[in-house]
Amino acid sequence: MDVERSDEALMLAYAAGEAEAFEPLYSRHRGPLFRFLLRQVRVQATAEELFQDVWQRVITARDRYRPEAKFSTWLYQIATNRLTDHWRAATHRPTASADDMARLEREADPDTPEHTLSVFEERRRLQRALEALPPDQREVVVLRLEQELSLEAIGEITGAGRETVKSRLRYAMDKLRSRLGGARDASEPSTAARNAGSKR
Amino acid sequence: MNANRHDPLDADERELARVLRALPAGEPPSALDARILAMGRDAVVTTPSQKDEAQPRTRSAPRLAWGLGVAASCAMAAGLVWRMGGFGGDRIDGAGAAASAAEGVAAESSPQPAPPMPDAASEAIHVEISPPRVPTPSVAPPPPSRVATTAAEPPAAAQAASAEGPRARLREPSPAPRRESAPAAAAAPPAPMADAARVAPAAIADESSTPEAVVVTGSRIVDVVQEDGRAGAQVWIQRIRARIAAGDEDGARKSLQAFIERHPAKPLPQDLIDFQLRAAMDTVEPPGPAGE
Repeated sequence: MDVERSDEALMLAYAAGEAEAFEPLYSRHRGPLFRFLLRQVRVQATAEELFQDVWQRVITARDRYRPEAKFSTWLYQIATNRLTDHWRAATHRPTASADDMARLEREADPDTPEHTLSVFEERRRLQRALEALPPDQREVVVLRLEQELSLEAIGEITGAGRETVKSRLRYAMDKLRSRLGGARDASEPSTAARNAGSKR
Repeated sequence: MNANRHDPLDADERELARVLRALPAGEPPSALDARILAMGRDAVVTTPSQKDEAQPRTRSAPRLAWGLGVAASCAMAAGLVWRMGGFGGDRIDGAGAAASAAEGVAAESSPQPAPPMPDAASEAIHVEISPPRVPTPSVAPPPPSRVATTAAEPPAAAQAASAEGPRARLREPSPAPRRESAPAAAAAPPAPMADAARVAPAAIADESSTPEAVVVTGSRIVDVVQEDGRAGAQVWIQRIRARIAAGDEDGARKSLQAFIERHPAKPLPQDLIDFQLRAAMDTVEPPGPAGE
């Protein structure tokens, strides 16, 4: 029954006192939200703490939820605000420092001509590339790639204008592509050679 | 605003998204799931009772403070009204009291000449009561200019003027001081004093024509008291004050007694209560039959 109910209907039901409405709502969003947070903070324990805080805020603020806003937008707004608080409190807001970029450059280089870009390596590079992004760019690109949200929706969540979101997304995509593309370019000769060898 | 919430990824984005989704981000641990689900459930289950307990507490404090504030304000306002002349139209503010600092009629019962009479209403009384009499300069009412000027003065200034006025005028019976204030005559008197302002020129004419001493008689005091009684309570109180200020304590006392008899329910201003007590202690002559 709850599968058919929209997020908004579930949230309203929960706010009205229907405790059972919370579970399906939580189940739908737990994975994406947790991944979103983990992509931002990169530390499992911190992500778990923030994840719990976000849901705590949802529970506490349930009476203030209005169905004019999509539940997911509201949820990610809360998450974004919590992340902002986290960065402020931690005072270790990660930036794409020169060291990070240099490290990524070094790691992006193929170590040997025989190096093959495994799936694991590809993931690892993307992970590093994401880590090197400024938080606002990382936030935007994760919402775009994982949630497939439109620029407008991302703007609603982050509080930034559409053009700002677009700009952040473009910068972030360029950086990610350059990391992965460089790696792929480097791996392609060896892959081609391997293919050629196998044909032979 | 949510119409374009989802937007399909392009080829580039899809490739990156594929890798991103494959990252070992995982999911929250089951223990965390259980904790959050319990939190959500407990919040709804326990909320109604908690709300019942918490809401009155959070709301009652501001309401209580608000109520106390309103009560304190009301008490203060009531006290002020009482202090300024009581309820029911008896309000006499400081300016009014200062304005009725002296009255020519009051001076008739006193050996001291009256200070300038700034109260136009009092002036009207004087004119009505003793049209044939010609007051001396020392006891005559001032011209309307003086009325207007004094009415605007603060009470302290008026008191000072009333304290100095009689002696100054005894020494100097010339009406010159009134003429000094003549330019102020342009100032229009307040609306309630319009009648008094109309009769004021007559008083000036009387005063300037025959500056003689006024003979005070008991019957005149009785007349004056009766005349006071014709006015409303507020004006009556002003007249009593004017008599006190002019040194006409006998007339003031009798008028006050008459006032109390006529308006037993009207609260007296504090200054008249003080005067009554003082008069009761000081007086040698028993109060008139109207008062006792």
